[in-house]
Amino acid sequence: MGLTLTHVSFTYQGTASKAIDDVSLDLQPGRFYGVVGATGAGKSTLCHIFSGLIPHFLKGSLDGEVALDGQPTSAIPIDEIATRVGYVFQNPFDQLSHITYRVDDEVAFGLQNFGLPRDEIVARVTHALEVLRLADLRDRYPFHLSGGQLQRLAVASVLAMSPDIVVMDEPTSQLDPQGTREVFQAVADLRASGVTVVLVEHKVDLLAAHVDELIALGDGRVVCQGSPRAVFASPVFGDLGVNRPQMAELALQLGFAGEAEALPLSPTELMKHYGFEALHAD
Amino acid sequence: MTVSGTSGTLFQAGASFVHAAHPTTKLLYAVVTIACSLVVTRLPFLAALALSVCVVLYLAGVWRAFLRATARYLVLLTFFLLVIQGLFREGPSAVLLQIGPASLKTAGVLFAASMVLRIFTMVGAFLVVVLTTHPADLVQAIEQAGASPRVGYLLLATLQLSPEMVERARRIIDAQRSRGLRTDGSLVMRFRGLVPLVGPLFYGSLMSVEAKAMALTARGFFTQRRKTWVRTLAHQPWEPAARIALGAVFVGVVVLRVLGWA
Repeated sequence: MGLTLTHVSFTYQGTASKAIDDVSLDLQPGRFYGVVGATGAGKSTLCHIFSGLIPHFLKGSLDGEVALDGQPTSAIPIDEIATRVGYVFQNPFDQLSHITYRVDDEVAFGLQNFGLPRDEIVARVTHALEVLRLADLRDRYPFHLSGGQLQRLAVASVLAMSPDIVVMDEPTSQLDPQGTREVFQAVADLRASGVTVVLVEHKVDLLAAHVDELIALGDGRVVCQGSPRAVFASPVFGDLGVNRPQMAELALQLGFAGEAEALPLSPTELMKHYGFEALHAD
Repeated sequence: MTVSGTSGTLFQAGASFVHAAHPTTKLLYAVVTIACSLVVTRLPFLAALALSVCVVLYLAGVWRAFLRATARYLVLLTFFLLVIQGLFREGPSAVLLQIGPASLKTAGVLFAASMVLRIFTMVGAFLVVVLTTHPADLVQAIEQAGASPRVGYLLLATLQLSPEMVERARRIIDAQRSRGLRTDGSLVMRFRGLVPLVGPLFYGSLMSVEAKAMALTARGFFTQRRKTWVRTLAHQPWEPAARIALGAVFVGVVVLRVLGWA
């Protein structure tokens, strides 16, 4: 399933400036996209557009075309979009239903709303809990989970819906390193199951290591897009107010002048690039 | 899937016949009992109602939980009602107890007693439902009876939001303390410490409402499709008779009240 944006602009009701300005994107099935940008660059708005919350929930002026499998999202009911595009919110407290008392009931919440057969709900819940390594916690009270577990539960509740695309808006922003690793592992599991993933994230080192393609936003526009190395090597990236991965930044500070695709993103790559591989081996 | 998660609720798991009853039957019991307590005015009838609630709480095995949840409030309420009504209720009445210039009047004490019994009955009947029914089952029953899912959501979310509110309040207090706010000491100091909490807590909660509404939308909560329930709520064989009996009791109480006997 593909999701395409063609010259899309959006202005929130009651505001004058465009949150998203003339954005064109083509999300290919099964790929992992990272989205970076400074605060106010339009990342969350882009997520809302991907998930159909714009224009179905959040009101404003939407120009251009957003199409899910060639069909404009404005013409698809939001509950149908919800079965095809999953959305993981920044804060799991916002994502979770607040009306369930068990982890497995929370995962089943959306499936029950959509009226799936009972057996299928049970099967999907079991699968989602296993994939997200929450099976042992299935009878726990959701709000007794740790931050990382809670965010994994949010991902599981989306995964259970079997969406083709999962959009995640800074899911690790409130997590410690352990929680962050858990969520990135969950994302890797999603990707392994063939789901298209769009991940908005500030932790560029982790993004660089995982995504197929990076989309850099600035003032509501796509400033650069491509492989992580190409985006981080781009001269315009430095003006976005977003950090590069530490090793990429170090290489550029040291005067890196090679092909963009050779930009080091890890210590090993950096040492190899500067000929310290033998030293490292010693 | 079975319901066993009880954190964040008053629900007490158990195997009594009250626990086994369908939530709507228990709701009917609570409604009838509360209605009866409002209809009757005579003290013996109010006492009988309160006693019947005690019996149900005992048979359900949640008597201790009921006391833990309500005892301190009921004792305080009883004390204040007795003092205020006993000392200050207007009208001629025999003096029950004279303490210096203060006269504890019989009419006031009887009125306070009827108020206490009525409140006890209402709280007790409501808690029979809450203590013996898992909230998820209660809401499922309400929705299956035809109520809007939004009603069920409001009911459960009101109970469930507390963990988030507590966590949010804790973060705000920690932030305020780190900037020198004192939240310990005398009652006045503690009260002052709460003032800076109210604004951020209220505003922050309002801000999260939109995000929650978006999440519910994205999870199909507002869809018009027919919902599936993973759990099944069973009716016990004796419940139809119990419902009829409850209806008969209510009609009987109304008749007695009209005749001036209750």
